[in-house]
Amino acid sequence: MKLTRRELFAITAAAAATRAQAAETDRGAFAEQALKLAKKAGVSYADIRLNRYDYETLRARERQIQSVSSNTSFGFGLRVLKKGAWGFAASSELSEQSLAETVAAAVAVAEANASLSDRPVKLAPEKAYTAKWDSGYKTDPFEVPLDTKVELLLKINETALAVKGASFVNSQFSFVREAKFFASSEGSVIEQDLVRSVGEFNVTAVDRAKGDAQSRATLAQPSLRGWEAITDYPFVDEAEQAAHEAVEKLSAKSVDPGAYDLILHPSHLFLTIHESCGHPTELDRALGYEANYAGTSFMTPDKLGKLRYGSKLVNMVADRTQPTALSTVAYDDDGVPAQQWHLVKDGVFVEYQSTREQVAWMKGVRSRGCAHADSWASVVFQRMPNVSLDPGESKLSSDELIADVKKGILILGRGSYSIDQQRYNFQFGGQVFREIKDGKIVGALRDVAYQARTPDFWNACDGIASRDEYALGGTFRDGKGEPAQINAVSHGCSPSRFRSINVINTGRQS
Amino acid sequence: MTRDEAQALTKKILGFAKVPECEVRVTVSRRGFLRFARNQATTAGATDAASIQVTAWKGKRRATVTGSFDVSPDGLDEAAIKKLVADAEQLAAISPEDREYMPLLGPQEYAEVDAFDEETAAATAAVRAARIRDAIAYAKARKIVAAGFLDQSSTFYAVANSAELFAYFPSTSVGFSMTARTLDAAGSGYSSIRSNSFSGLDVGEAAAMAIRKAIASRGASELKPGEYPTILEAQAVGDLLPTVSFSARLADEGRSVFSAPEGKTRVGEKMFDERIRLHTDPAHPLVPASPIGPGGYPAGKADLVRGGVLKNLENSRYWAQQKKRSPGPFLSNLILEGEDQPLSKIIASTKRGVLVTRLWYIRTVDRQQALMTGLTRDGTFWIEDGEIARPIKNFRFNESMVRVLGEIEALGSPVRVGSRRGSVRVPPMRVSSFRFTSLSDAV
Repeated sequence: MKLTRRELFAITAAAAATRAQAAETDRGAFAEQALKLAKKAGVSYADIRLNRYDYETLRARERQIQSVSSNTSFGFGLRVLKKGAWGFAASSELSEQSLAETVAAAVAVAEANASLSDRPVKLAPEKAYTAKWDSGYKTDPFEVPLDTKVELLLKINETALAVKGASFVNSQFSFVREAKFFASSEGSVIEQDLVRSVGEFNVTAVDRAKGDAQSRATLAQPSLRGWEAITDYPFVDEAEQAAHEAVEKLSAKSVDPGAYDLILHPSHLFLTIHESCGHPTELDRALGYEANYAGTSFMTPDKLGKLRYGSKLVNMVADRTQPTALSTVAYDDDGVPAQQWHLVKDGVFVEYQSTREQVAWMKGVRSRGCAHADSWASVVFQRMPNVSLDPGESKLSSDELIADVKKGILILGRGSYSIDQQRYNFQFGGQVFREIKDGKIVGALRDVAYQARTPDFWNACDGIASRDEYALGGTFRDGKGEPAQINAVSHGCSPSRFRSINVINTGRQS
Repeated sequence: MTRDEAQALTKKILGFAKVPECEVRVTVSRRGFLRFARNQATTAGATDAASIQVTAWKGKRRATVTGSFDVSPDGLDEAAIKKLVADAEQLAAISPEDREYMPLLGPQEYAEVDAFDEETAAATAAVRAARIRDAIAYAKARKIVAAGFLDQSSTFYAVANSAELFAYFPSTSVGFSMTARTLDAAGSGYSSIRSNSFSGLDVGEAAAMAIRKAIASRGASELKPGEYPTILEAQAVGDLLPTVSFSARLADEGRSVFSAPEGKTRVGEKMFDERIRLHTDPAHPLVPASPIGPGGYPAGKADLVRGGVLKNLENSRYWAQQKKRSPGPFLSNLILEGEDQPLSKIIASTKRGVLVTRLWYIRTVDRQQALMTGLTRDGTFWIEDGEIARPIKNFRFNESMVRVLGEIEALGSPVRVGSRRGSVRVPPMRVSSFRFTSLSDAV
């Protein structure tokens, strides 16, 4: 049967004639009414986001599908500025009464907040935009027949389980579509549609006699693409390889702790970039606005233009325009156009990530379009753009990077990761570890994690492969804020070399 | 949404189903929150949301569809809900068979849990602001930079199915947390509390605690990483304990710290100090939690660990059937009992050791050992001769809570702590050794 979710939900959208859908067909009128009511209540600024989010997830384990689920969330969030303070209210009810109540609630929140604020919120000037944009895809994942997805998931699992010693395998596909409508009291009306896709699996091999279990997860990465993100990746071939590598880990050499040169593959290094550069260059963190949860940052304003963050090879670029990268948009949730800029240039920390509101927080800050909310029901605040390490300028290859290592480890894939609240001390594991001796890969390792201090680590970078090996990694679920929100963000890089990094053994300790 | 309204709504939704097996879950929530930083309000809001989730089975084929809806009696859009049910049925029809299919549960008995407070549900933005005002004023007076969060919610949850099961659980929750930092950014303190009612929340005391820690933690010096006798405050225990998986299936499959060789588990084995009693009880008056488990199965009282012996692991209905066990116990909350002594008494009886306020960014390193890594944060101290001798720099740790619970030297009085993993009530404890593997410069 070739019925697709699109067919199912297209019917939902058209035939059900719900108030949500009625509003969706006239979002402009609804927004206009909301902004009118807000202005009448005496606000100095207001914006409304009427957003619809579709999610589809299929999960499989071993030879069965565990769940097929789809979720649609639709509602509106209204933000107002009154007496210099923010107010926000949201509702999934799209009636006139609900709209009036929600406007009143947002205004009441702003008035209550104003009594707790002695520095009024000021928004940097921004033009009004009328725009429509979509992220583009070759194949809408919501239109792909369910049985096609199921077949591929089960094939991945079957392939992994066919490898002798592979005991378990979990896999899943997830698809997200965001239909976003933004209108502000300054005259912007912006519509954006985005589609993101990810495929994941994890193979586990168990040695029951020894009581040991080792896993190897896919190196595939999520992206701002359609179904082609799944079909362009060799999931089935990798499942076989991953199963062999999970089995191999059971008897692999346990690493001797000590200093090693590390060659880090993009499937691994993206997360190190995310944690050690993406987060500490968020201006809200640096100034204490995230102190109660995500933390602050060692990259304080006094270090701007001075901190030698990394070696001269290290150029970190923030970019919300990068094709297929997860945080790419045309406009942020403040209505600011997407941009590209350096955070670290030639190893020196040069700029923060920022939003309209943050321009007033510190001299020299530009509005960089980093405002985001993960739902119509969530408040807009600063979130991470795509942050990537520029590839090396020379034609260096990863083989050449490895050739110049006497004692080292090649690490692929995302493993255990943890970093302190100011982004100094971190520890990262991986999925695949290869021992390097005298310029050659000599075998598999296990129980590997490295610990470092952020500036020490990036200053130890002495080689970055060329653009030929550049790849994007990313995450669907970066957490920040209270109430907690998630953000999808990508990080690009080429394989890179870091000298003399402390490696610990995470194996049996008792 | 009252119980009667929930029952009428779920009955109506189930009435739309054409398949013999259908389950519906309705969640209606109202949330208010206020965030502050640098001693002033930042983002705050009030949100109303309602969702309906329908799971339909066509034979053993299953699919779940969720949507946002207006569920107020006068706003209910029956056509849209009918369509949601039909979507679930059509999606189920094209889904593969669920090899772990379990028939729907019939009517169940649930523990009586009082977790709803009218006054908390009705609290306004002005009420939230009033609670925060004093905390900010107190911080300013002590030259402290405060950041924090107050959130309050009321949630009405109902689940029903075509086998006549119906369960309803209304609850309120309110939490406050605050991080206090000294003006020179050399000291940081934290406090987090949660209750089901505003009246159970002492915001002033929590703010004062965070401020005291911030001032006391200024000027931290280095202590060499290594293994030390360590006092974990209740917050630190509450941060680490919920990271342990009590899944019976993982243990049976050889993928857990509770796995034994040759496909066996460690249930029945004395793995911990004999003073350890870890249990779950949704009706506990100080940490009330939902008595409704997965698929509507009751989440009741049960011991996980008693007298240091691993008593139970959590079995899904399917896994229980496979292994010929009873389903559950489903963990509605996590309660670690302690002994009747304050933290100050544990400190006073400590010759030398580390005092940890809070743990942060905890991630699994090795599941077979329940080995976790993470960092201390917001106040770490060195104790000598029964007193806090000096603040020390933060550490990264690589440690297993399962190992730590076998190294108990002292337990204090349990308290409810703020936890992102639900309702948790735990005591502070001193353990004979805790593994700190490197220093962190973070304050």
